[in-house]
Amino acid sequence: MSERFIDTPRGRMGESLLLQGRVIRALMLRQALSRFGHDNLGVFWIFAEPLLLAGAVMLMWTVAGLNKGHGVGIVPFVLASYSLLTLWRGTCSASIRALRANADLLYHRNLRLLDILIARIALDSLSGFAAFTVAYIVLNLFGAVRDVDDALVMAGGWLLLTWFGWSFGLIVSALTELFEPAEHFVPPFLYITLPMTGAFYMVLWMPPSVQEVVMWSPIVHIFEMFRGGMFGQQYAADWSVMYVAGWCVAQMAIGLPLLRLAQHRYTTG
Amino acid sequence: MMLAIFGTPSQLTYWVMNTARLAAEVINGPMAVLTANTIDELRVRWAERGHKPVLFHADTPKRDLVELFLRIPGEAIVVIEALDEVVWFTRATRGLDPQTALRFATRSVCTLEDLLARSGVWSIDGGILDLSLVSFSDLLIDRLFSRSTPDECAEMRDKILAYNSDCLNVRQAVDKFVKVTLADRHERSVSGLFLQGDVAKAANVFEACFHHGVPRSMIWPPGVFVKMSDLSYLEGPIDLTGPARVLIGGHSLSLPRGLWRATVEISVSDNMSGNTILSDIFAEDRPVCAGVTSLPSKGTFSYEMEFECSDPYYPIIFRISTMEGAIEGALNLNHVQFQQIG
Amino acid sequence: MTGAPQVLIQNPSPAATATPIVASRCIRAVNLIKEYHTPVGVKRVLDGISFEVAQGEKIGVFGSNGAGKSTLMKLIGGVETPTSGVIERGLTMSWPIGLAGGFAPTMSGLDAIRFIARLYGAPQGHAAEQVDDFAELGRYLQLPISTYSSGMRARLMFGLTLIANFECLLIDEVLSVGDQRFRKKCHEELFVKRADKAMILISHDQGIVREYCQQALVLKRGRGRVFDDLDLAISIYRTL
Repeated sequence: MSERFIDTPRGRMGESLLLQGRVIRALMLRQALSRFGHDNLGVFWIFAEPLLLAGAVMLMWTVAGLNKGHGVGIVPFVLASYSLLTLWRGTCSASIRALRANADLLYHRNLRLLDILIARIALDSLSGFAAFTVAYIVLNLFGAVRDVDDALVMAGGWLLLTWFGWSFGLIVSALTELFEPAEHFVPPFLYITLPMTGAFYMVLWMPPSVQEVVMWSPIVHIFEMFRGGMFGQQYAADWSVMYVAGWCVAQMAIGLPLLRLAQHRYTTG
Repeated sequence: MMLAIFGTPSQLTYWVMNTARLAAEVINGPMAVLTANTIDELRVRWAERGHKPVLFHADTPKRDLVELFLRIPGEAIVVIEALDEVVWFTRATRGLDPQTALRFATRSVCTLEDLLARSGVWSIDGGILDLSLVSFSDLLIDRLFSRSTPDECAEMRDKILAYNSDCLNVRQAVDKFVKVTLADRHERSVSGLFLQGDVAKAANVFEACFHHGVPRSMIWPPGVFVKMSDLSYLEGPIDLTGPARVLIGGHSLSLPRGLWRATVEISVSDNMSGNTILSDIFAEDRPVCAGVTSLPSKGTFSYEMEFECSDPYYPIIFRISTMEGAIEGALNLNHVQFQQIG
Repeated sequence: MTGAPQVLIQNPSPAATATPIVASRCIRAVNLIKEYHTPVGVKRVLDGISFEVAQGEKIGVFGSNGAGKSTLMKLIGGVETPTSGVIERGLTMSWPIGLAGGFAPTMSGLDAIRFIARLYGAPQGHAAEQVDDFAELGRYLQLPISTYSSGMRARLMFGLTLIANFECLLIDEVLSVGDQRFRKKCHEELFVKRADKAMILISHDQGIVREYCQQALVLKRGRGRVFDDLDLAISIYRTL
């Protein structure tokens, strides 16, 4: 590729980072405005959704008389699964043809596609975590959930999923841009891999042979880590941050060049 | 009495005219020379002539006049000389440039050609130059004045021989006649007045098709065409860059009457952004054929156009125009071949 | 604009820290080729376009529909990358002036102003003032862009480009929209107040190109050629 872009003036590394920080912040605010609008109803629903879910689950299980099961409360289990799954699915769906959706923004010379993708996931991650936290605190006040065991591990798990979802999103963005039919494979893929997320079970509930299989999934590691922080490590399988990080790095190694290629090939018409 | 002499505007024609007039005046007394190329001209001049007998002359008759003469009986001479003879003579006597001279010459040859088919026509060409003057005057008297008395015939012969004294044959007589007519101009540069380069080549191919009969075919080199941007004669490729416009025009030469096929060969280079060219053929100012061709980015290709030449009086003009503005590309006209197909 | 204009338009990339390239003060395109992959094969939309605009110079771009103008604009704007060829941006370059993209309809005019001001590091209060001086939207600035008329939108979009102090303006037919007053104001902002800026002016308006440009790029079927003789360029464009 003989293409070469020279954008002047070049600055020092520090200036670059500062600029990128400013750009991402601007993008996040723009994103937030377009997502939530000016009336605060949008923000309200972000926080209301997990609470509604928790309420519905509590109601169902109370009616069925199954309030306790397998050592952890069903409400916090569902709340955690729901929040993590929302973040994961959100990243994947929003990555579909992200280049096309944001093409007009790219006219701003100090802004790159990567900035857009980072800004979006950062907003998703922040709002998701805030929603989860608010819901958890509310439920905790009502005594529906216990105190968390290790908030730092939970936050780490959440960050890890953010990283994983973002790096996976790079590949999705690139592939859906390079091959138009690819976007139709994303929803089925998300559905089929649902069992591999650990959203509907805890690994320790499984027989050891099944445990071995599901622990291949990096998302299961993240879910276990998050719930480990929430309920205590005795309820979680042996998750490994390094294993997930390895996946993330591998996905970035594939996703970034692929995205570059997609951007190179990209045409609006 | 009317004596008609058709001929190319060249030395032999004028000598023959002069000689025939000497002979005819023996019978008719002083004659008026009446030159006309159309019926209208003829009508006007005829009215102007008074009551004198007429020596009619035409060098490039229009179709209506040709048809009139084809219908009426009577003696007539048609002199057709070689093209280069016509060209140098018209250049010397009328100061024409080579292309204009060639255009005039082809118009004359092509319009006169049809008269050769008329009954009673005495056709004269360069072959007559080697006849002795005595034989020529006998031939002339025999062809034109066969009903005259022997006395009149003898007087005619004497007059012709006396006018051309010291000359053994027709060639010498014509030379002497021309020297008198052109005076010093003739001495200066007869050779420089002959055609050169592409124009000479064009004249040769043109002439060849009169001598070798059917099928008539001739290839015109690019140098007889004109580059319309500065009206200079075509030399090498033309840059297409510029607005849509007429690129090439020419050659403005007459073709013999009939159906013709023009095969145009052009070379295109560096024409990456494409273009469409319009090729059209006019008989003077009347379009007779047009076609549109899409130009490739490069390469040599040819295309054909068919048209009818109904009156050789009107010169054939072939043009190439671009139909779109161009930012690049060059077009070279390799040649245009004209082939008679009917 | 206040602040540090030089840093605004910089594009951080890995190469930036390694070898700072001192580009000459111009926008230069060298042999740009752009190919699209279509179901019927590869289509070459731009084929060997080269031109150069130095500081303060103005170049007009002519071309009939389908000649590659919009693709060229996308390449210059950096939205798409050329299949091969080089674009050197030695001047800070605007996005296409008047381009009505990149703003969600739920955003208000003020949101858009803040976004651009943040993106280019301009003080927001001043930016809002500056834009509204031009756009004259008043209280409409508080309302979502989706409620604007096309004229209001055009005024806002043009106003936004005034926030950042670009050295080279990319102008695509902005002068052909809007009413007489809007066009007059655009004209004033571009050709009077910013007469010292470089411009790439994609326009059907031969008069404007003749008046303000030093050269013209004529596009035809993806090919392009720069003419210093504007009259020749215009005569070609007229019969394209």
